[in-house]
Amino acid sequence: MELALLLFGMTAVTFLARYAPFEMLQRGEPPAWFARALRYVPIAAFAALIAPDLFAHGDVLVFDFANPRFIAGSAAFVVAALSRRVLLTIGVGMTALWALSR
Amino acid sequence: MKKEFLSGIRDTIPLVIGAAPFGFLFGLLARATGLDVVATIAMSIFVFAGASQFAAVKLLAAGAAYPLIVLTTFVINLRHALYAASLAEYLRDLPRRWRALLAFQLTDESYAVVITHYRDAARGDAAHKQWYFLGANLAMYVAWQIDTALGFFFGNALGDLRALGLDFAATLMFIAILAPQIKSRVDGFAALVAGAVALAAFALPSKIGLLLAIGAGIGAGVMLEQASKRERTKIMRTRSHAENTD
Repeated sequence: MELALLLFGMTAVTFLARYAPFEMLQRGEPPAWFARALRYVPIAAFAALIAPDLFAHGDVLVFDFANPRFIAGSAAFVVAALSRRVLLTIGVGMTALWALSR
Repeated sequence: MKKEFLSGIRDTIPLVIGAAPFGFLFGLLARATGLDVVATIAMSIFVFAGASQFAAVKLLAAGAAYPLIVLTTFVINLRHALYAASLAEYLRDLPRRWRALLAFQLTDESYAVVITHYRDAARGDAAHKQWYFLGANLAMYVAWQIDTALGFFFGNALGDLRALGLDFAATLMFIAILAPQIKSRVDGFAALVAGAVALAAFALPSKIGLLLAIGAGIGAGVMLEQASKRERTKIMRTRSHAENTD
């Protein structure tokens, strides 16, 4: 029962974070500076999500630039920038990771 | 409509694969912590936010008070507010129930494919754009429930799937999405700053590091953009001045 309360609370705050901005920005354009800042959300978010994955060692980071994930990720980045092809990028990255971690 | 929905699902598949080891691990850990199958699946169905589900299980195991767990959940998921804010302009003309439905299932993964799809105006069918979003969301949502259940029931038999490197598929998908979006020096600088801060602040609890990193990346982008704009105006002024005196 108490656990149900916990789940309700977690659901409510998660939904709030995901939904409130949609309604807050519903009426009219946001100020120019805000719109300009929002343009950088995807780039900043993806870079912030990627970086730790390149050095992940279980649950901690190990700053080893010769580790398979960093090398495979860097190769994938070059492929993605040049080819703009998602599946090719993933294919090269996974192949590199598996080849390097054997 | 159906086409948009299906392409939303299709574009999300690599991220579905990448998230699988985590859903699996969540099911495994939840069971190890003593949650029953109903509570475990209910958390995946209602909360549906990977990192905060992990945190909740860890905090429960440590005997943390419920309000603290709820607060932690909120902090972990604050970055979704930034995602929602940057998606808002595309959903403005939809009925509220659509926005609520799409917001409920918003994740890092669906944000990545949806914002990329929406910003690339040449792609997609604008009249049915919400179906693309729904497809991406549902792909993650349904898979997450299956992964959670598999982890709960078979987790001990299979262990940590991250050893296979499958989770790296999601990293690569983010790379595939990020790289083409870096179109200028300013973009590259914003990405570098965000990545560096994410590494430096990784040890902070509740994904605060991730939030700081996104904020820093945005700040870096906006500031360098302003600075280079000022620089350009200055050069142009100097040039026209030089032409006038010639």
